[in-house]
Amino acid sequence: MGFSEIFSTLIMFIAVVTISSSLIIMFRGQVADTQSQVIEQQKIISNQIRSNINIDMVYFNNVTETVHVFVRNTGNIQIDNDTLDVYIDSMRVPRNSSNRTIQVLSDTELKNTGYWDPKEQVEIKIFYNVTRSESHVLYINTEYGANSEYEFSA
Amino acid sequence: MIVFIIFGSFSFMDKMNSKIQDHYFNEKQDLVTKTLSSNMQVDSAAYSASKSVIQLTNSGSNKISLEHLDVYVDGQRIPRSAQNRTIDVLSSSELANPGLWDPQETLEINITKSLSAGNHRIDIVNEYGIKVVTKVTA
Repeated sequence: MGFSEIFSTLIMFIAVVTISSSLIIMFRGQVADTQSQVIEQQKIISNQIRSNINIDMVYFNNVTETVHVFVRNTGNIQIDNDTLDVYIDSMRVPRNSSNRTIQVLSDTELKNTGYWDPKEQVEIKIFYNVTRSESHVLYINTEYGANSEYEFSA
Repeated sequence: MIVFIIFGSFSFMDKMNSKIQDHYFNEKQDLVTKTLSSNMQVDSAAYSASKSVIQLTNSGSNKISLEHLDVYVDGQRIPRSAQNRTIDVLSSSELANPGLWDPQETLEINITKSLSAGNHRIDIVNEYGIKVVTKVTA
């Protein structure tokens, strides 16, 4: 092999490395973006898998015309109370304190006071006068799609 | 070479995600298994002198936590405090782990609440959401 052949091979090698490096730098940003989106999506799926609730009891107080709902966090992650949605007979109860209140029961608190952690219970009070002597369906849905349903009558 | 690098990155990320999701699936599966194998059975329920006394057997195949048991009388929740209710494993039924409610052991719940004459419904719910229902007559 002559010097000129070695030299041209070397030039080609340098050119390939330079082009490869440039392409890696160009694509790195996109790979990083995609990676972070994949991680985000994976977090969402994990939360969906780990999330679960169970309605223990629904009780209607005739005097105060309030529906009391006791719900247990039977999953493995904390649930955000503010994004809970409640439906009575498929009608959504708006998320404001004049329609409903949600509180973690203090005697079930294990950690993070005020947050709905696993094994803790919340009491939902719904200020709604249900029709007496009829059965009603109460449905609760959480931010990750974990839900529970309970049939009751007043 | 670029294609291989990029392909390699995505394969690695995909493998890592599968491992993590497998872990959470296993966690969920474990929870579902425990829930399905949890069960309670009411042996007796009676009311006397402003107290309801209920005896239950752990008829499932795993321990049930006493501190996460909840009791409801006519739909109203009984707060988890000794003034309102006491929960004890009957020593005569203890088979293993004193103080823990193991399978086939019997629990006694005493509820301090005055009831009007007539039938009253009592619901008992455990940490997995498994419920038994009984009634007492005052």
